[in-house]
Amino acid sequence: MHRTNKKRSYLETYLSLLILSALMLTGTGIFLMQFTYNPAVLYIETIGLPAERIPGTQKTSTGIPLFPTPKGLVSLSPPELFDSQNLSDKIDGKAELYLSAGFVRLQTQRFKSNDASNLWLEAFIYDMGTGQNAFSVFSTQRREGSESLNLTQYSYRTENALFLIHGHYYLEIIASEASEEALQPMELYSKAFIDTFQVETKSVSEENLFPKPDRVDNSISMISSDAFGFDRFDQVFTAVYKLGDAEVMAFLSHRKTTEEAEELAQAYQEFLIAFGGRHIEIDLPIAGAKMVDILDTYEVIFSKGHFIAGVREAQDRNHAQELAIRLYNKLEQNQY
Amino acid sequence: MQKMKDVFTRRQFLIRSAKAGASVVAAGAIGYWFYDSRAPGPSPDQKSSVLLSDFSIPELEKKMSIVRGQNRADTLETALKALGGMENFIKKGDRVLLKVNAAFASPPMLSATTHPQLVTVLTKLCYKVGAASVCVTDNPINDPVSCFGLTGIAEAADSAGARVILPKENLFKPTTLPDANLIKNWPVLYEPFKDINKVIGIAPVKDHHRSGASMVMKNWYGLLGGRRNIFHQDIHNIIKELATMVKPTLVVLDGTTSMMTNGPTGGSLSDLKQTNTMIVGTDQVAADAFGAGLLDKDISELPYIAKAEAKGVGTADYQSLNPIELSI
Repeated sequence: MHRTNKKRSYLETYLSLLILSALMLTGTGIFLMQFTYNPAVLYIETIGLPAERIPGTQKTSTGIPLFPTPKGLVSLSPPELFDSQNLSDKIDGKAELYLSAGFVRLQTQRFKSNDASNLWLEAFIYDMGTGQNAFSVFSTQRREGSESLNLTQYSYRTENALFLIHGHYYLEIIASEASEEALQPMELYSKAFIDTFQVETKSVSEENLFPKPDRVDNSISMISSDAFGFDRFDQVFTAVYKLGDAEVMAFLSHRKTTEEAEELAQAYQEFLIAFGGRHIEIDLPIAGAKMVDILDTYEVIFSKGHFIAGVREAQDRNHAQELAIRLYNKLEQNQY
Repeated sequence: MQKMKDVFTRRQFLIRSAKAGASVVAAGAIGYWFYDSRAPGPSPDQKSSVLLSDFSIPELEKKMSIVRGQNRADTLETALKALGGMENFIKKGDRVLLKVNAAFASPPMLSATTHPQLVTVLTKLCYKVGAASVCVTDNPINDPVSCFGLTGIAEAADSAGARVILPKENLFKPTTLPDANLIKNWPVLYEPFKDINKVIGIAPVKDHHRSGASMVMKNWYGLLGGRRNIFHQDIHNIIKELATMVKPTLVVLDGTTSMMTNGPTGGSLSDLKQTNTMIVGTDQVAADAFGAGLLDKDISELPYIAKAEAKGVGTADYQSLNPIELSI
């Protein structure tokens, strides 16, 4: 009797294992199959339709302007709203730039000056979620030779366009003509927007961490993701310096912990080595600083407190060292 | 005794587990039974997948001319003359389609779209050599009426006698390219191509945030319908497939003003550079390979060029075509 029970017990154990294995196999199968992406599912209902006719990619006309049309302008088109799903319906391949920087939504509208001229302008209001995200898209697209404006802390104009940050909004106003006459309606619109939306405006704190001497004006940028081709590098601030005739870039990025900054500095150095860089022995007064020679340029990488920082694309090794020391000292002054 | 009955025995547990497992397996099996890894077939009214015709002129060798100068009309006419004149490409009675880049509702001065002057000149030249009709089309990113209107293309076409074909829903047909990975049963702006026998692609030279550049081959993207933005995830391969899909008679790459930064939309004149070059030819790969230089890029930075070349669309070695280079 005891033997029979024992036999049965073994049988039941094997059966249990078999059932559990079958369940695991089924679960694994389902898990794997859900990765098999079939784009046809997306378009089967939309086949034959141009993009603007397809639900989800349709430009939503709210019919309600985000704020009243400023005096002196008349609307030429209804406002259009775009979200992350259909942003590329408005700006095509440039959508990635905004999406990777935390884009929330875009509202656009065309206006005309209410005088007799043929001048028209289009306003792009990007809600980027945070001021830092707005700074990212503002700074990475900043046009060379532009004229700074006093509309907000970060604002400038070119011959036919005006760009600014107001809180978490990034504004682009593009005019159909390049003229002084075009500036007036663009400023009119910007001021109306700023007056209507009382949002919290903050300076980008990293700006003060880059040493000022030799820094090229308006050269500070923020790269949201994949900075320098390294997929672990996000929220990286850069500034360009003019040392002699050469331009050299400094960079820094705040991390959550000191350990993370140290580890990322090491990982970035290894990334450069993996792509053909060569480690160079240096004696810098910066703990743990590393220099890499890559494609005949020099990079210095170090961490200081919560920051990973460094210098890149220096043609001259001395320039790389000099700027690295200045950046390190500045971080130290700021007690990082 | 009653208490004993309520006890859930190991045997009962296993039996119930086995039943539950069998149910899961059965559900999985049914799911697998219904799973179809192939794309759904076309609906009854879309059964016939179409393919664009070959609009190239086989008896003509691959040709290219590069003309430097500031005036688009002059450089374009000179470039065409260098290739034997428009009559070499368009014959009496031909029905011509101009595929422009009208992607954005932006003014011509921003060079984000085909310059209207080129539409005027090409239309007039086509009619001059006896074309029976000239049409202009594109499926823009923004709303088509605004795009054709604000870019000046509609007015240019109208004044020269060309008809603008807006991308209406019924003009799209599903297309499947042989050996394609992406263009499978995908809606393409087909109808404007149906009754024509010559195609001229006209594109500006632009930086492009995703593909590196937007020139002749990227311009065919404007023939796609549906949720084409999903192709941005594989941009170089979709451009390659588009280049194999369209075999144009002639291509015009306008490098008079090139968008060097912040493409493909640009927005500021400071994104532009006067590069004063007009490229006309029959090899779209060669034209783009030359255009890369105008953007200060090496062709290795634009992988779609090598991919299209490998597919036999054309040559990236544009010098091998012995291009005629002129300055005016």
